[in-house]
Amino acid sequence: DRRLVYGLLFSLKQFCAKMSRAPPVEGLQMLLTGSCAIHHLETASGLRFVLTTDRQTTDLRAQLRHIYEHIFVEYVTKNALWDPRAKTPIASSEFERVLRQFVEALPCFGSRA
Amino acid sequence: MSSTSYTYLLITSRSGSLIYHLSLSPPSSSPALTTNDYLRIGSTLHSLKAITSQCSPVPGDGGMRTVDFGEGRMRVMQTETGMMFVLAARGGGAQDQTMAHCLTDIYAAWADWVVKNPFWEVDMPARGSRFGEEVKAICQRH
Repeated sequence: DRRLVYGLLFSLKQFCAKMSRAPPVEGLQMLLTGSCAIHHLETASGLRFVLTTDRQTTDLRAQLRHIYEHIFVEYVTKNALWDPRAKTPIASSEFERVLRQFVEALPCFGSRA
Repeated sequence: MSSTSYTYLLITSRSGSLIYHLSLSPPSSSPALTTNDYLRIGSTLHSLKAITSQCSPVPGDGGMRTVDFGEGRMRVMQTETGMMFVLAARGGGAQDQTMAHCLTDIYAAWADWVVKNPFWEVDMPARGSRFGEEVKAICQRH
């Protein structure tokens, strides 16, 4: 499943680059399907932040950026034990805790009205 | 005069091969795609739709429908027959509903000007310039 998503994002990136004026400014931001929305942020370093929500949520760019700048950088990049070149998933419980706190506090999280 | 500036239209057959492509904006304002570019994009469309419908946590999801990227957005319409119509627009002003209506009109024009052409067979690449003119007129209206 994860590999599918990765392949999807990779092809879509080329797609969007072709349709944009060179050099592309932002790249893929959001993909809507019949029932859900996939929000995407790619950083200059090649990291990708992907969040899946329902269709009611329209724009999560600022939130994804916040996750990158204030949560990922603080709890993962600044973690001396984390090797960015290792292919292992992030195992920091602090990172997960803060991330979970942030996401659950978002207005789009939670039961539908 | 439409408020949305459309950039490209791509149509793929049931098997996923590209059968029609059209550039809807002048080459100065959006990149001119070569035939190879169109073919490459066209060939990935079907697989992207299949992947997105599998990735979705909700079963029975139709798959990719709209893609927003920094410069614009792309709307996909899959017909009952399995063909895919893809319309790309530039800028943030493109509304999802408008693009959806535009696509259904384009599908109607396809039925009128390509399918009813006695020299055209199903899944064959289409070349009618009359259809292209019709598409441009539709895009002007939306």
